[in-house]
Amino acid sequence: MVDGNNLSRRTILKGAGIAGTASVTALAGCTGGGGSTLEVLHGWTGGDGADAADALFSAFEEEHSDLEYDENPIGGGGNENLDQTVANRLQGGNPPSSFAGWPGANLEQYEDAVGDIESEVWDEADLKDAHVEEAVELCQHNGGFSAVPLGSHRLNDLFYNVSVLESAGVDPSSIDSADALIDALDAVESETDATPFAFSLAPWCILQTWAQTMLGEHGYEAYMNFIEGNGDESAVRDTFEKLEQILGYINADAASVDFTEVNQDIMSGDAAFIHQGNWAAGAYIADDKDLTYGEDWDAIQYPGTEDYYTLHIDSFIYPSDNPTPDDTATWLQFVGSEEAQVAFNQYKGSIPTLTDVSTDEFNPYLTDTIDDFDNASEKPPTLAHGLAVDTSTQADLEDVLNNNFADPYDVDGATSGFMDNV
Amino acid sequence: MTDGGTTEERSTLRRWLDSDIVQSSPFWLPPFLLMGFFVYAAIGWNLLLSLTEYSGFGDPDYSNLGLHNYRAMLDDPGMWAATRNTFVLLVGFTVVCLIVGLLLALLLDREIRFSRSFRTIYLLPFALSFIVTAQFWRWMYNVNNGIVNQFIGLFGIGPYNWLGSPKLVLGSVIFALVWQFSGYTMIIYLAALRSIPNDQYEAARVDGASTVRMYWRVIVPQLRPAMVSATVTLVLFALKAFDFLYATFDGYRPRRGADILATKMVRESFGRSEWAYGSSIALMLFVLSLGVIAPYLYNQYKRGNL
Amino acid sequence: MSEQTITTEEAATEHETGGISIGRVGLYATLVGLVGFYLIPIESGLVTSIKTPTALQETFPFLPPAGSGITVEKWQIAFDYLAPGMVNSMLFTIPSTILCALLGSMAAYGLTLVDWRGQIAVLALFIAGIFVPYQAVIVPLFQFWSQYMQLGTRLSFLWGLPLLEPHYATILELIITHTAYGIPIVTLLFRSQYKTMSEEMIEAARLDGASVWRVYRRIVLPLSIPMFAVVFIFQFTQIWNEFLFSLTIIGSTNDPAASATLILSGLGQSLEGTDYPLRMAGAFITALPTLLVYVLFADKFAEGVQT
Repeated sequence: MVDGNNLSRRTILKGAGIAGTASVTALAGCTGGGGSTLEVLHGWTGGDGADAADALFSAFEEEHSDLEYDENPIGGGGNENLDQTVANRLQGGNPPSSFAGWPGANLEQYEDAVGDIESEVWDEADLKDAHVEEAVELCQHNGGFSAVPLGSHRLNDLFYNVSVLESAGVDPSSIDSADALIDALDAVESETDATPFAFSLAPWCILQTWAQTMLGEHGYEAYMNFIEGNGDESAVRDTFEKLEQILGYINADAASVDFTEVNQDIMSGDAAFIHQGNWAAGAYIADDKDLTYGEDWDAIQYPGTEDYYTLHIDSFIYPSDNPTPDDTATWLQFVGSEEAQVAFNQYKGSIPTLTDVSTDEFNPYLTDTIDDFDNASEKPPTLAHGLAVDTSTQADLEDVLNNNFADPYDVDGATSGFMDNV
Repeated sequence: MTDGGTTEERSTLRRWLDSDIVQSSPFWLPPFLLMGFFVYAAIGWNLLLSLTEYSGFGDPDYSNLGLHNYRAMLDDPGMWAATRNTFVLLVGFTVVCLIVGLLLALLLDREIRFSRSFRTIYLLPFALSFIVTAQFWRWMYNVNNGIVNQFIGLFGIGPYNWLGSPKLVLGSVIFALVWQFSGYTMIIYLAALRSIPNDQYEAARVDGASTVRMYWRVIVPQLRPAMVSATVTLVLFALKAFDFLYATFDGYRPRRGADILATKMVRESFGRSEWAYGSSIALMLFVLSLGVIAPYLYNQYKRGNL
Repeated sequence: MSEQTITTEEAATEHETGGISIGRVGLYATLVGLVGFYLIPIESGLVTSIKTPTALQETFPFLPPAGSGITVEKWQIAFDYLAPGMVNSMLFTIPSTILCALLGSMAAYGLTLVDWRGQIAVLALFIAGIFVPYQAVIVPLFQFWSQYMQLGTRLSFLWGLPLLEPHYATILELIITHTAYGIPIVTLLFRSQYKTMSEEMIEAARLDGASVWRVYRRIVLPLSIPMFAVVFIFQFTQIWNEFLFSLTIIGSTNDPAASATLILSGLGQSLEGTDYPLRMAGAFITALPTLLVYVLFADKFAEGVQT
């Protein structure tokens, strides 16, 4: 929070400078309210994330040209740096106006450090009807609303390299269960030199693939029961057993690479399948790659989850004790609007959480994703990205995986660890 | 009488003001207070925090103190793993460093040309930051392109996932740390070797002792004080090793098999905001290090080295 | 060492010719082999840092790339990322090194050359302070700076002044922190020298009526200049290389006060995969000041280490 203080000082300085009141005493006096500028923290500093953030803030400027704001991107380490900075500043009593983060159970950690914006934002801008019910629900906290959704990534895509599958003689549309997937992986292994299942053994990656396997093999209800703490042990165990078989087909260096590295192998044809959130597709679509959706790469749903859309949501969160309550409300209303969501998501490789949105601006892959989103029978929340369980449970699950299921694979240990921790 | 009394009082005061403790206090007291606050007061504060339930946001609540964090440690399987790994690292790293450092020192103590240059090169890794050396070793241990795998590939072995396999990872970390620290032990031994008077070498030679015998019987025993102080430094380093692991594994959570108390402590507090639990692990680390510091200081005091 | 040993060696060589000289050859071969062992991770890092992605895949990790495989692009990128961190690291390393040296020298003087009862106990506390694991103080330290001191807020009246920036509050915290934790080892270094100083000289000076201050200024300080050099070099390296305080007190690699080691720890993370050439280039840029100091003053550094 010390650094946080500094940031906010600088913000104030900037704002004060613009207002022409850069007197030292005025600076020392104001800690929020009065002369503060809307300050927004987010973690999109590189690649498509940075482009998406640029588009978002340009759209905001266009709509609210009168409003001074300070964009403060904090990248690196996944969201680790952003989360740390946010935590420090909330802890030090120096919150920003708004910060990017996951809604859902992830909000629990902030307790009273995040506030309620039900009337100022959700009712005022009629957001409750505009967004899908899952998104509306996930933004609630402490009996009110503390976040506004910005967009959604899909977690149950299974991406593949088309030509690798062709040379292995695998028909992707026939893969509808974990066993069928294992057969396909086996075919790739025996018929080609490619890695059948490109993977990173980072705990969060294992967790998200475990969650899709659970969902695919045992269905929505069993999955929801598990995250609510009533998991069926035999289903959890069976999921681990299936996953162990699948992970028998991964790259040798899986324990020391991150997913972006193995994702390169999908593009170069050195690997057949990869399971990732659909941010992975951003790399395929990037201009310099010259890869075509449907011809070079494609996606099916993770086997068994064909009717589902596993939901990930990025949102902007509202800290209580807000330095700029009115401007923050304006910002958050904008975040929930179609303008903002279209501007941001088309570049981010994610989709709006709105019930009805024009797909004109979106590429063919995302258009298909929006279509699935509208037609999915269920939208289960992702387990590995803050929506399903609170941060400390999620960290416990990742610990269990790191200790029991990151090669070698200990089904017993992992099963009991998962049953104990949720 | 009264006069005398006052004079006496004044002289007591004078003597006190003139006394060495008062005279010297402007020198040692300010640094002592600064250091004392940041080291000893902080340790006390840490003890207090470890008795609270402080986690997440807000301020610690000091009104309800208890030992629950220490009890929670006993039920935490991660704690056991981390403790075991800490001891493996501590023993493996210390012993190997002491041996390699001794061999280096013995080699260099034999009237070598350019011995100063050799010494400078062997000590070089010790002058680098762990964050820097971790980058080098991540590349050395790279599964596909790393030198380690290419080297053992020459003999038809491997490739191994040095930093990925739970069985190999701790050994790999120890190896890298020995690379970085053996120069340090060498320097300590060299200083001790050079302080051994020449006539002892002579005497051993006159007695017709072979080189190996001479070293074993005459020289090595005299290196014991050097070995003790090197061991203390190495053990205490192994207890707090964090930087290298953080940089090697890109974050608070090392690969399974490489988690030690020092990394777990930082992860619990700064990664998960379990401040009180983190403090209790910190206190355990402090107690462990005290187990090394106290005998060492006592020993130094006995020898009049303090 | 002295000539005596050399004569002994020569005498021995005469006795058993052949045998010894083969031994000598083996000895030098071992020493040179060890040079390889200690330098190869560094050398490999250096050649890797100038490789293009193709060269990275196609050349051996320890061989330099050929003509078209060479690029300095990664050095440029790494430098852009690290430059502010280098400035910040300098800003806190140099002041805390100087403060450490001054305070440590004073403490050692007060505890060594002036005799009083109880000084051993105080000294023991100083020495124990060298070994205390930072983990044991890091949570309170973090609390102290972030929740109780909040220098950024307290000193906010300063940030309007020219040349001062808000993130200097964090730098100031680091200066104080590094100074406090550096004092114990520096005190020990100075004490090891002061113990060998001639007591007679100091006694004589004091009998002449010189005050404790005067003795320090006139006799002790001038004599400790070589030790100051050792301490500067040793502490500069230690503080520059430090990481845990940077990580916890600064908090984020994006902070305007981020140190070089902190930025290096997160370098290239948000890009596609682990960019080894970028990381290697970053490692060298970060290590540059310490490497320079080490190469120029290796003996002083060794002297600091061995005490």
